[in-house]
Amino acid sequence: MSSSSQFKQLEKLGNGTYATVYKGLNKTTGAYVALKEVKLDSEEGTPSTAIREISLMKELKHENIVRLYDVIHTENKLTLVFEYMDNDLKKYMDSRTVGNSPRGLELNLVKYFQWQLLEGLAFCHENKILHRDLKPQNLLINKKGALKLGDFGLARAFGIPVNTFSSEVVTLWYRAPDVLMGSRTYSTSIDIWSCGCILAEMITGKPLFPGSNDEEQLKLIFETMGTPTEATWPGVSALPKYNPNFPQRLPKDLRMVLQPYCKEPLDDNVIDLLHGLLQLNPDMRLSAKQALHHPWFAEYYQHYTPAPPSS
Amino acid sequence: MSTTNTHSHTELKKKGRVALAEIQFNPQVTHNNDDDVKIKLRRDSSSSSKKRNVSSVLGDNDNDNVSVSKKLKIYRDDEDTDLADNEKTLVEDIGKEVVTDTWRNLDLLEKNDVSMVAEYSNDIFTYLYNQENIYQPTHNYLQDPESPFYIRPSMRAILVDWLVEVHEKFSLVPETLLLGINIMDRFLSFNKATVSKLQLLAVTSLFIAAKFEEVNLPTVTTYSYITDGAASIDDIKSAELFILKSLKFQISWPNPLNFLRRISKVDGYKFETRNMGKFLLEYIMSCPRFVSLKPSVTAALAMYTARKIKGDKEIFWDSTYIHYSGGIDADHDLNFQGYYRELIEELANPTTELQSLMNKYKKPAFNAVYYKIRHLIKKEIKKYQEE
Ligand SMILES: Nc1ncnc2c1ncn2[C@@H]1O[C@H](COP(=O)(O)OP(=O)(O)OP(=O)(O)O)[C@@H](O)[C@H]1O
Ligand SMILES: [Mg+2]
Repeated sequence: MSSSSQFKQLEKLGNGTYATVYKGLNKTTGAYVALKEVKLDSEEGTPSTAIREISLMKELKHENIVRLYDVIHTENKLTLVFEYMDNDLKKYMDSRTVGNSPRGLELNLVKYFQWQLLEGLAFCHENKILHRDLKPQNLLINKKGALKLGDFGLARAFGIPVNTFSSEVVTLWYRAPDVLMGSRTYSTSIDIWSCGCILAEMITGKPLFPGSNDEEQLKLIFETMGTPTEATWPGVSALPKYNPNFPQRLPKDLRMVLQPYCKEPLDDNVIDLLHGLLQLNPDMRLSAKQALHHPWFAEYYQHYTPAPPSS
Repeated sequence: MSTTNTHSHTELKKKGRVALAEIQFNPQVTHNNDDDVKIKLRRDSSSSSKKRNVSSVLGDNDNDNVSVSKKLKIYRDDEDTDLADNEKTLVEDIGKEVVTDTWRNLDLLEKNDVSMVAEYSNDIFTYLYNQENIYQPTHNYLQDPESPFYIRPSMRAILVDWLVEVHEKFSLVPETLLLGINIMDRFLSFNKATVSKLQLLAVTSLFIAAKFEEVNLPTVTTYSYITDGAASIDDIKSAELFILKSLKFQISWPNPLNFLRRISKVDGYKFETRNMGKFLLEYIMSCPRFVSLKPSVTAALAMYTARKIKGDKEIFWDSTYIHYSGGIDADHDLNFQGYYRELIEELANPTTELQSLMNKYKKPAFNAVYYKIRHLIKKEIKKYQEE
């Protein structure tokens, strides 16, 4: 562990639910870092979020996952020392809003960000870790166009077979329909739904399903993606919060939904990828690995050497 | 079986518990000035731990299949659901097995079962076999009386057995117990703990393990309460940070239950064998002599022993078992055979008292698997002695 005197605390970068993040300067190396401070005054001792975030992130060393360098313990707080990133994706997108009209990112950049998001996520899943809180605020970017997954406060390790988990995870707008209906046997597909929402949001500059409560969230999802039935999603009616009286909707054409907010023409490939990520039935959703092989990313394949099949 | 045993069962249980509370350590550890320690355990049934049990029974648990989907579910943890269905589908699917040069690839059978994460399972296990080296106790701190970290094996047995009881009271998932034991062992393998602090260490190890594994957490008050005053809330909170720092926050241990379930794949997840395997796994984790074994080895040892004493007829530990155990050639590996012999001898004539563990596995909730194992072990030992 390093000591806290090694870092100079600079301006505040963000305020989370369980931590405050500051920019910091490493006095010995002159490099910037992000300092995430976790208060230890809780009645229950060290927050389980911090225990998980630290123990899981120590293992995750990947260029699309923000690096945890160190943990410092002082009197009444833990300080997590992270690799510094210039911005988060949410603030970056907000900064592009002109007046009241949101503006999406150039499609080239969207593709590059989405690729990196899926690379980082595939690495988590290969290392038996679910992120469970993917959203633009938790994706960190820098001036070189790099995107990295941050905030592993809700992450957890899963076993095989996957155990049952809490359904109170993922920020509402990015929460998968199976989880909204109370499923607790989700697995890697929970993160994939969020990736779909984020892709659409990067294209249009505005959240795809901005519900204000669970019920409205499902309503918004079904209005665009169609209401699931036993035929389209076997088993859906057995979910705890399934309601046979959900208003019946037919799926909309995603291109018609998104194109009005995007200056460049949306090609078939990106729409097809969106469909693969935003499958209502979790079993039908693409995996991160599969998504990386989607034709929309064809131009990146040359840089991508798949791991040799393990025997 | 259960009717004839009810009497001796409760009797034993009573005896076991009294013994647990009354046991006085008299360790021969030279550096200690504090020679007496009592493991205290609350037994008051109106305790807050009981209330919490209710919520956690409603909460997370292996058998709790909230989302019922029609997809094929090969892996089961309960005996009676979909048995016929599963077996039928399995048989139908056998044709899809890929027979590689030597071992049968069974992963394809699970392609449609999302909970098996088939696509990532090979990556994940490769990763876990790598990781397990980092998370081992540095050495068996129970074996060298000259070591500065030595504690008496019987003392660790008492701590572990007490954790088994607390873990059961709190209705925690099986992973949490094993992780708690690992946290305690790793800490003890390079830290000197005074005898008076051992119970605090044990309860705090479980407290940390639960924070990593569980969805619903017992409160710190409950943990303190269960020690009957031996560890205050503040003690537990400061021990927590001390342990976390000492272990460099490395809590993401490859749990042997993952390896055990993977091996169980080879016989189509036979419930009885796996259930025996789970008991044996907890037994191995509790035995002082196995403290420095890697999780993949403990899991293989548990499953190998379960199959062996059951006398499963099929080819014994063939290339498919070797593959799904992470490369352990159980029949030919001399070290492994040594562990096996030690384990069955220990089971037949225990040198370590593990009363709570035995009591737990005498219960119907655990299929009273203890009796079955004891019976089979006697037969197996006889065979051995005749050879
Ligand atoms: N490494 C970093 N570099 C730059 N900024 C960062 C870094 N890490 C976090 N931030 C900023 O701080 C904000 C909060 O960080 P983080 O999400 O890790 O905290 P949190 O308390 O878990 O947040 P929340 O509960 O709101 O999800 C981020 O949205 C981002 O703006
Ligand atoms: Mg955040």
